[in-house]
Amino acid sequence: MYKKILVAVNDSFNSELAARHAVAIAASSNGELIVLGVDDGGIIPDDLSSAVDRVVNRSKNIVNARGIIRKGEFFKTTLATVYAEHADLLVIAISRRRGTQFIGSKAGKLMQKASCSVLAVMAKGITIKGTGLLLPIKQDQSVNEEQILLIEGLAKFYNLSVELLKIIEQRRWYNLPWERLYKLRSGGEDSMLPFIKEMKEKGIEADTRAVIAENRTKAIIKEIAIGKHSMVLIKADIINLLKEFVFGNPVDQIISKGLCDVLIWRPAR
Amino acid sequence: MKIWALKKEDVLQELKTSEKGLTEGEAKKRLRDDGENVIPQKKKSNILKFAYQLGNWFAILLWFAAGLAWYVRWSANDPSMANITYAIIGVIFFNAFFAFLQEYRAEKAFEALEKMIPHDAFVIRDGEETKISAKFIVVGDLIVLKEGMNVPADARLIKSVDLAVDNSALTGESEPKPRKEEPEEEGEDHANIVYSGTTVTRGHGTGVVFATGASTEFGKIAHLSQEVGEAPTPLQREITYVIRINTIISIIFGVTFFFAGRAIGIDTNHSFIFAIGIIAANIPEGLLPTVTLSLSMGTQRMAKKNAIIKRLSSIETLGSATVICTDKTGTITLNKMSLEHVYIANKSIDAKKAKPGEMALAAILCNNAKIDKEKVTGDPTETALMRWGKKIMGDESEGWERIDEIAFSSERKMMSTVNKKKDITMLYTKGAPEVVLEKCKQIAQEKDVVALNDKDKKKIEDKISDYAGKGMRVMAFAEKKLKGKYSKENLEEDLVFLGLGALRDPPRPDVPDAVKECKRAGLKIIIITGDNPLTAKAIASDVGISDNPQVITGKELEKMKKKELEKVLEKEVIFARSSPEHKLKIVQALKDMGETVAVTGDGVNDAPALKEADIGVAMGKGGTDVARESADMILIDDNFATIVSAIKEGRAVFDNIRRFITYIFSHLLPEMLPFILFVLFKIPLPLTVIQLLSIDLGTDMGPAIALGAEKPEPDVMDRKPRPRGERILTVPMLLKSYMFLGLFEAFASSVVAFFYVLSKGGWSFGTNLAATDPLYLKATTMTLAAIVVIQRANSFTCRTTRESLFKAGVFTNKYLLIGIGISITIIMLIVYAPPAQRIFGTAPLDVSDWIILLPMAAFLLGADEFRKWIIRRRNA
Repeated sequence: MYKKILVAVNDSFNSELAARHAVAIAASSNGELIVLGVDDGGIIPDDLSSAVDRVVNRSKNIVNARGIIRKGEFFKTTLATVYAEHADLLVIAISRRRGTQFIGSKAGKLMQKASCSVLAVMAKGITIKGTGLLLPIKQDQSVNEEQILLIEGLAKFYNLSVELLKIIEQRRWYNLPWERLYKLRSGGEDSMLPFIKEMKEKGIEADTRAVIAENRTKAIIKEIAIGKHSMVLIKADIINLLKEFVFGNPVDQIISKGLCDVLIWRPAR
Repeated sequence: MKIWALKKEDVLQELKTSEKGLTEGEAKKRLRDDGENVIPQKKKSNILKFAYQLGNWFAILLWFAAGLAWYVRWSANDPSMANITYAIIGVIFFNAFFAFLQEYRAEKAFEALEKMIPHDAFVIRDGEETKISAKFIVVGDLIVLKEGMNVPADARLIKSVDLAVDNSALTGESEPKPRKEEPEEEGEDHANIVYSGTTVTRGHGTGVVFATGASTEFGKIAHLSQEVGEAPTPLQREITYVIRINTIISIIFGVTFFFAGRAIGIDTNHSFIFAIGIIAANIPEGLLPTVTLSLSMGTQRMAKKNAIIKRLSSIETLGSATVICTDKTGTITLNKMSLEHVYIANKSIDAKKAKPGEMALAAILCNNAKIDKEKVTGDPTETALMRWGKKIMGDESEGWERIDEIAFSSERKMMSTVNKKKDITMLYTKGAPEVVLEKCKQIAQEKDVVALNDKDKKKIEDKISDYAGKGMRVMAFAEKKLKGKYSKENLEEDLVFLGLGALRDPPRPDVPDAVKECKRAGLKIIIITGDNPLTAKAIASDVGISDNPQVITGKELEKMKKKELEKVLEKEVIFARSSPEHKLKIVQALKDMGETVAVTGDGVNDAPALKEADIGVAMGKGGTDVARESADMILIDDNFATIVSAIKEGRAVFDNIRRFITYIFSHLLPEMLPFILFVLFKIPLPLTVIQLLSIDLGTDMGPAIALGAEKPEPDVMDRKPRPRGERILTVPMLLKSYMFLGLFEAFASSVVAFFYVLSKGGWSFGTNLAATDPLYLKATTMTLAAIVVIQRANSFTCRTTRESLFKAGVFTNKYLLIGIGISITIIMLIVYAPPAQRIFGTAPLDVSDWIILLPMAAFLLGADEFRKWIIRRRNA
C-alpha cells in the first residue's frame, strides 16, 4: 500500500503524538517511515533534531525509519520533500492552539495542496481507553480501497474494532413515521454489509450502525462523546461554503469537540 | 497507549517530562497548545434563551397582530388601538417567559461537578514544588498529592506512600481505594491511576498528569452531557405542532376575513381591526403558561413520590414509555444481602450452622467492609460476608495484617488479599465462581487438601446452578499459602478451592405489584444486570416479570448482529453478566425499533446509556453524581416501583394537557363569532379585542391550570402506551372544542346574551352605537360575562373524558374550585371596578343579568353529560 510515509514533526508534544499513527500505518503497510523536521527559523534547532530523533528511535524497532531535517518555510519545504521523496502519504499534526482554524492552518493548507494522500491528525491524549475506530460515512458515500487499507492498518496495529457509522441527514427526522425511520436505518446498514464482510475476512472485528440526524457533524461529535472509540477517521469533504458560513467548518467542530484522536484523510490526487 | 502498564521511566519519557517536572517554558507552551485544565461549560446566556422565545411561531403571529394594531392606531388615529398593541406585546413577553421557563434546565448539577476540581494544586516544575492555580496544570506536570486534597487532573502515580483515594464521585463507592505506583497489566480500576475530581483520603504521592480539562474522565462526562444535543421530547414536538396548526388556522381566518370585510365595503382600518380580532381570538394565549405550570405541578407531585424530574417536558415522555430497562440489584431487590447457604467440602449447609474454618476466615480477610464497633459498612455482599464470618469465627480471626491487595474489577470478577500473621502469609481470593474455580488446582476437604478432579468440579458447578437457580448470588472462595517473596504475576494461580457462599438479596416488597401494573399498562420490562444468568432469571420469575425469559449474557450479546438483537428484544428477555456498554447497545436497538425507552443506571459508565435513552433514570441513593448529571429523572429511593408510579403520573400529565387544550380551544369560537357577526350583519362588535384577551390570560388561566392538576384516572394504567405518532391534538378533540362546546358557548354569548341587553336597552337592528355608549358597554360586558360563566361550567365538563362528572365527584379537584374562585374575582373586578372598566371597556351588570346566564351554564353541563352517556353506552 503506502511505500513511503512522510511524517512532519516539530518540537511540540502534539506532533509526536500524531507521529504514532504514522508509525502504525507504516508498520501495517510495511512501508518506510521518513520523519521530517522543518527548521523555519521559529524553532530551536536542537529541540527539532531531538524530536526527530525521538520519533525515529521509538519506531526503529517497528518500522524502517529515518529522519531528515530541512531548512526553509514550512509549507513549501514540506511539499518539496513530499515530491523529492516520492511519498505516498503525508501525516501531519493539527495544531491544538486555541483559535486555530483547520482551513488556513499548516495542516489544512497541506491537505489542499499536497499531491499524495494526506492524513491530518489531532491527537487528543496519550492514553487509549476506547476500543473502537469510528468511521463515519455520509449517506451517499462509500468506502474505497485505499480507505480500507488505512483502516485495516490502524485497526490491526492498535487492536481496535471498527464501527462504521452511516449518517443519514434528515431535517426534523423525529417527525417522520417510525416505519420510515426503520427502513432508512436498515437500508443504511444493509448498504454497508459488504464492507463489514470484507473487514471480517481481514480478521478485523467490524460492525455497522446507521443513525438519522439533523446534522452530520453533531452526530459524529455525539458518537465520539459516548466514549467507545479511541479514534475517528473522517474522509475530507469538498468545502460547502454556504453550509460552512451557516454552521461553521465541520472539521473544526469535530477536532475541537471530539475527545478522541481525530484523523482527517484525503486520498491522493 | 496503556499508561497504567508502563514503568515509571517510560511514563516520564512518553509524556516528555522528568522527575524534576516540566520546565516553566515547556509548561507554558503546552498550556497554549492544549488550553486550560477546566471543564468547558457551554453556557447559553439566559437573555439569549429568553430572546429566542420571542421569535417562536406564536410570538411571530402576535408580533404581526401588534404591528397591525399599531398601524391602525397610527393611520386612523385611534388611541384605543395603542392599548391593544401594548396588551399583545405584553402577551408575547408573558408567553416567552413561560416558554423560557420550560426550556430552562437546572445547571446546579454541573456546577456540583465543577466544584470537585480544586482551585489550587501543588506541582513540581524545574525541580521545585510550587503552588499554582489548578487550571494551569498541563499534561506532563508532576502533581503532588496529600491527604484531604482533591485530585486536579487525571494522573499516573509514580510515587505512592500509603495513598488512598475516595472515588465515590466516579464510582459511587465511598470506601477508600488504595493507590500504588507499580505498573498494572489488566483491570478496569487501575490502582496506579488517580482521577480528577476524586479526593485523597490518606497518605501522599506524586503523579504525572496525562489528561486535563475535557480529556479527563470527569471532563468527558460533562462533555457528553453538554455536547449530546437532545432531540425535542414528544411533548415539545406536539406543542410545536399544536402551535403551528393554530397559527395556520389563525392566518387563514385573519386574511380571509380581512378580504371579506373589504369585499362587503368595510374600510381598510376596520378590516384590520377585524383581522386582528380574528387572529387574537384564534390564538390560545394561555396555552404555554398552562402547559408549563401543569408540568411544574407534575414534577412536584413526582418529587413527593421520590422521583425528581430534571427536564420538565420529560414527565410526559415517561407516560409514553413502552420499555423499562432496569438494573436488578437495589432497584428490583433490596440490596440487603444475607448469606443463606455455604458449600464446604462437597456439602451444602445452612450458613448459620457452619463451623469455624478457612472459608469463614477468607470471608473476613478478603473483604473491604469496615467494622466500626458493632456496625458493618461497605458493599452489601461484603458486609453480609463479614457479618457471617465474624459470627462464625469470633476472636479466631484476630491478629492478621493485610499486606497487599489485588483489587476487584468488573472485568476480573474477583479480588485477592495477601495477609500475614506471625510467619504465615496467606492469599485469600473471592469472586465469581466460574472465574475462581478455573484458577483452583486443589480443594479443601474436611481434614485435608486434595487435588481438584473433574468429578468435584462437576459437583461444584451443579451446586452453583442450583443456588443461582434459586435466585441467590454465589461467591467462591479460595486460598494459597505463600512462601517467602511473591510477585503479583501468577499470584492468583494454583489456588485451593475453599467453598461457595450463596447470598440472597430479597426483592423489594412493592415490586411484584408494580410489575403487574406495568403488564396491565402494556409496558415491557427488561432486566440488565451484571449478575449470574440463573440468579437474574430467578429474580425475574420471583417478581413476575417473566417465568421463562430468554437469558442473554454479555458475551452472547457482543457476538449478536443488530438484526438478531432486535429479534431477541421482541420476546421476553433479560440480560445477565452485562456491562454498561451492553446496556447502551440494547437501548440503541430498542430505540431503533420504535420503542420509547426508560433506562436505569448508577455508575459513571452508565452515562452514555442514560443520555441515549428517552428517559434516563439515575439512582439517588447509590448512584454517582455523573449518572445523576446525565439522567432525566432521579429516583430518591432507587426503587423500581417509583419508576412505575412516575409513569402513571406521566400518563396523567398527558391526559391533563389534552383536558386543558379542549378547555382552552372551547373559547376560541365564542371569541371569533363576535367578529364574524360584526362583519356579516353590520351589528356593533359584541366583544372587543381587549375583553377577549382578558378571557385568554385572565379568567380562563386558573381553571386551565387546575385541570392540569387532575389526579390520574383509575384506568390510566389499564391502557396500552400511547402509540408512537399519536397526536396530542386529534380531530375528535377539535370537533368537541369547536363544534360542540364552542358552538354552544358562541351562540349563548354573542347572540343570546348580547342581544338580550341590547334589546332590553331599546336598540333596533341597523342602529349604530358609539364605542362609549353605556348600552354598548353593558352589552359587550354581558357577552364577556356569558363566556366566562359558561366556561366555568365547561371547566367541569373537561374533567372527565367518558366518566360522568357526578361519579368522579364534582368537588374532588380543589384546585379547580380555587381557579374558579380566582376567575370569578377577576370578572367581578373587570365588571365593577372603575379603573378596570376604563381599561376593558365594560359597564356594571345587574343581578338579573347574571341570573340569566346560569341556565346556559347548566344546559352545557347537562348536554355534555348526555354526550358522555351516549359514548359510555356505545362502548358498553
